[in-house]
Amino acid sequence: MKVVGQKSVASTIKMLLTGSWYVGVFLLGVLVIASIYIGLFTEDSVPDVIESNLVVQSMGLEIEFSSEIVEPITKLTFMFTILSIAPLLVLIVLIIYQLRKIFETLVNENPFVEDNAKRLKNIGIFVILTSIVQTILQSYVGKNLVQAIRSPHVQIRTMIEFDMVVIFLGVIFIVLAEVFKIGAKMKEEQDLTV
Amino acid sequence: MRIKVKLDEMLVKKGISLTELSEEVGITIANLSILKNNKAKAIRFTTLEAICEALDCQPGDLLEHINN
Repeated sequence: MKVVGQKSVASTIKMLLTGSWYVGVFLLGVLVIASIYIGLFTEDSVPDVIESNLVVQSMGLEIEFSSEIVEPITKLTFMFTILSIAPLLVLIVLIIYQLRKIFETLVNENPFVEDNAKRLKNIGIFVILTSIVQTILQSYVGKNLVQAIRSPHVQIRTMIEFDMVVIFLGVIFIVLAEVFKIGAKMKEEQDLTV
Repeated sequence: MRIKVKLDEMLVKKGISLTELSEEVGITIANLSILKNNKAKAIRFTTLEAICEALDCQPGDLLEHINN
């Protein structure tokens, strides 16, 4: 089974990444446009205040709060909550784009180029940012949750917890970028050795 | 400090074209061009030997050290 080159594992993954990138960009567009449309432009078709049960999923648990104890959310709050996911989606789409470019070089069997070192470094930075953004988002959603639940029997506290494993992964990518930089230099030396 | 490759001068002196030299030494024109245009980072002894034989010259005829 060929790992790099044409018709290889790398070319299949590149195809999947290309598809994911287009899907990601499309979803991001739909998310932003739909949430702004619902929040600002649907005067009659969507009620200003939405009453519903609140479902929270975390760590393999699904907790549902009845609409009787949940504050109805306004359209604007709904819009901002959905829009707050956008930065995370942007980072994920950027990571996929960088990976796609790297796999392109693997299909061409020429991975040790300076550009790949830059891409790996970018991936590392984006992965670290993803962890930070996700933590901020969770804190924001948690804060809204605390305000939305109007029951004296339910206590919800927000915590700021950074996913150190993801941050560590980001740092590993940055180190790997330096390895590729050295590899690119060595390849250049080899190419220019007559 | 740099090493200048005087391949151009030697080709003119011996009346040989780059293409002919490429065929004789078995090195591609692309690689010889890298050498000729002083873009090479290193040269193998086998390459130097092959060029010197083809041009009937010494390594010193091909390479010149220039102080900046």
